[in-house]
Amino acid sequence: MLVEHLALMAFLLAASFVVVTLIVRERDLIKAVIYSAAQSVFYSIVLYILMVPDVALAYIAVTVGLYTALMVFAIRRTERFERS
Amino acid sequence: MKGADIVLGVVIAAALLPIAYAAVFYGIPSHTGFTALRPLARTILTVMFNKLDRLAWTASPEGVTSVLWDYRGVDTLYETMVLLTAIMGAVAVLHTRGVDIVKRVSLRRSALSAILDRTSRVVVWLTLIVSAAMAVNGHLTPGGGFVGGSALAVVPVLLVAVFTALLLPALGFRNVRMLRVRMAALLTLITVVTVPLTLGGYFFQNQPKPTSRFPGYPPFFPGGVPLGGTLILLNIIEFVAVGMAFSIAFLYLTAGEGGEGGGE
Amino acid sequence: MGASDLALMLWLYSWLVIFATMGAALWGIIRRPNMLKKIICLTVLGDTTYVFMNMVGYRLVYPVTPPIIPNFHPSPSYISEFVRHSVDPIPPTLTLTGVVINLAVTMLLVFIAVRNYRLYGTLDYREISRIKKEVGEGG
Repeated sequence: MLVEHLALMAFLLAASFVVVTLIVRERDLIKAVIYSAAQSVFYSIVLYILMVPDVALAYIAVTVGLYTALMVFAIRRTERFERS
Repeated sequence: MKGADIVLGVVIAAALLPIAYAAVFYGIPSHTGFTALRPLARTILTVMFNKLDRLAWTASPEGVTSVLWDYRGVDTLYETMVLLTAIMGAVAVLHTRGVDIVKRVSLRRSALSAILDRTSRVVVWLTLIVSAAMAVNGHLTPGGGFVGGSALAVVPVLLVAVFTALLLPALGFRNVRMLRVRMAALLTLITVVTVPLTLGGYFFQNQPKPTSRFPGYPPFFPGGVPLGGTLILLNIIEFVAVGMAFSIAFLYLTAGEGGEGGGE
Repeated sequence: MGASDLALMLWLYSWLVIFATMGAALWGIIRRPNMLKKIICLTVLGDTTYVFMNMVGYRLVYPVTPPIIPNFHPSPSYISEFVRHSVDPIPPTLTLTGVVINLAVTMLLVFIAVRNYRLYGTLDYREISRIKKEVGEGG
């Protein structure tokens, strides 16, 4: 069972590395914020596998709920596309 | 170019796998095999709910809350001050002197569809109850003041998105009132923490200690359920403080100065 | 390779991928010109640090439990059995306050960026430095 948990954790961390590459290279800021929310979901599952449920609860509420709303409000008041 | 980016990420992630294989196969020694617990953690977990030897116990079976509010309580007090300062700074940066326009529109119905209207009412009540339950049960289950406060702060965001930003001030949640509630919560925190000092004990003291005259906060409910002494009070206070802080910041971001219409 | 060798290999791979993610987020902070993109990559860097800190506190034993005693009247033998399987309680403590306070500081940064947009009309740091240089020479 330990090997199954660690394999799932390694797969999720590799998937979040791919998503972080997408965040860095994306020009449209709204899409970058949605990728950041997807990466937070992967990280919250990893934090549950690491047996710290306190952090997983706070992490989901903060990054998927509050942080995404904050960035979408900020992008709506400034520009949406990154230049060059 | 999204396809090229995904391929780049997958290639780099797959290139790290042979490095890990070589590290284990060619016998790079791992010091303890990652199976031992540190001595400090062992001491904390052994002592925190030991009813027979109550020298350093915290009356709470949860490890994270007892370290957060009892063993390292003053650090959490400083973190609360950092939260206060950051929110004050953020509000001061965005403070403008605009014209306050309060429109007499029908605020009880959303401009979006009726499904969103009904669903968001149910979700708001559920979130209020669940966040309060997580905060109050922080000394028995995973959760606590910070988790409950962050979950409570989602409610104004949802209300601003579904109804307009004029609903909350019309319901009575102006920025000045929320600021007063938060200041009251922080003053209660200072009171709870300084009461042992005035009665002959230590600052931030929770349970009775042999060299202090303060008898300690009550550790159990009458039925035998652990109460945690100061832990339950501090969790509730932190829940109110964090929830109000984030609500104030979000109302400033969406509605402008007094929480009364305007904005951009 | 036995089962524990496979577990150790997956564990070391997770450490390497965490470091690679930190490197990718740092690259994003340095090389991307938009201020909001820099702030997004800064939060990614912080979140990766939280996961790494909890990985340092983890133990490769089975069965592994969170640091919570699920019993209201534990005997000393129950507590020693619990300590043999439990995870370190200190990293989640540091992470929990860190997550919430980091959100407040990020809010401050975002509000400053929005204010910058109102002042200069752009969020590109190269344009802002060019405008500052022109205004500095003219005035």
